[in-house]
Amino acid sequence: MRFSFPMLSLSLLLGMMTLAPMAGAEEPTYTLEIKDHTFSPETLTVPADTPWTLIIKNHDKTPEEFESTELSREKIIPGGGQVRIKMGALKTGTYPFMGEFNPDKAKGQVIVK
Amino acid sequence: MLPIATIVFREFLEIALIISLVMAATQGLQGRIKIIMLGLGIGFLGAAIIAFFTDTLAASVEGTGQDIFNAGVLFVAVGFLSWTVIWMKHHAKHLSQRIHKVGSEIVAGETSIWVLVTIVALASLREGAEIVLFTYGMMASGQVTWSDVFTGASLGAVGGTVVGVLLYLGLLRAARRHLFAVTSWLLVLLTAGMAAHGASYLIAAGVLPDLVPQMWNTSHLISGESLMGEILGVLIGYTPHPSGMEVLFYVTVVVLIALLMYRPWHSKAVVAQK
Repeated sequence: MRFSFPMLSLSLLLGMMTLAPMAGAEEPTYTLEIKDHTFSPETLTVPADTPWTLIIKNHDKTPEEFESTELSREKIIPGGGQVRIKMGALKTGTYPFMGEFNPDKAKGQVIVK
Repeated sequence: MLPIATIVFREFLEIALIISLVMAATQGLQGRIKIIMLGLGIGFLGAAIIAFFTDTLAASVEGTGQDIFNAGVLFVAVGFLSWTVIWMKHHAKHLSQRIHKVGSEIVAGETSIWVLVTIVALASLREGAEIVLFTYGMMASGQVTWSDVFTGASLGAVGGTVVGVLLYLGLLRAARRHLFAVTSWLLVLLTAGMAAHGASYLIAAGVLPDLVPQMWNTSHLISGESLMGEILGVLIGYTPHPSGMEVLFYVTVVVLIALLMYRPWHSKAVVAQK
């Protein structure tokens, strides 16, 4: 019995990779910068019920991992690198996040209004 | 030293939980220790290579390459895990009968061994890459020495492995009678959780819509950051507030595997053949 699940998932994935760059053209974009293992700004205010995109720029030489269980996102930003994270339409509230590689210093929150 | 121990523990816990569940589910398959070691070896080698290429990977596909890669790793693991559960369902009887006869011979044949090696390798690939990147960061910023890294990593690895082994032994004890049924269903939930996790990466990359941003919120019951939340996250894909797409992936995988395990459409034919 031979299953083609792996092949199927691979081909699905390749299909998705070609579609990926289309996403998120007119949505609001917010930027976080990492310097000296701290986020700036530490508080990011975004509108409620609106999908948005988060861009994180890491000015440190070392990698950092953006992590937030409340936002259900985790992502590594290489030293000197920049990543893009798609966020859904959030309800009003406060969503804390942190840098997993420097949990004492790298902290912040997204406030949805 | 301590932050290294913590992060290595967390990543190792994930690897150890997945491996112990797979091992509990494949009771009777010989040579499993070798399978684990080989899988871990390949996984960590791959992890080092990935960590080396992180810059390129993260910058690709407009800064979403890493998510798409992670989703890919998870979906391939989902494929292999599904194959294993379904295969075990159809060969378990045969397996346990032959074990008494053949003893140490590797019963299941080469295909299933390589499938298991791949599962272990994939499980250690993503988590391993995070460990490498983290320790690299610590070293590069001059905060720690090699001996700190070594001590911290050993502590974390031992801790994570102990929890995994405890789960394995606990499973063998608690579910002795229905071990096969219990472990294969746990494996189904683990697989479904991986598929949902893969979906969440694709949502973060903007490839898939979330359908519903939040289906429910149980973070006041079990926080995703607590140890319990993390263990449940690996084992059954627990996440405090999943999106609609994640739930859709989860349910679809459970239903598909269950269908292929029990094959209601030709159950009579199979019984007749045997």
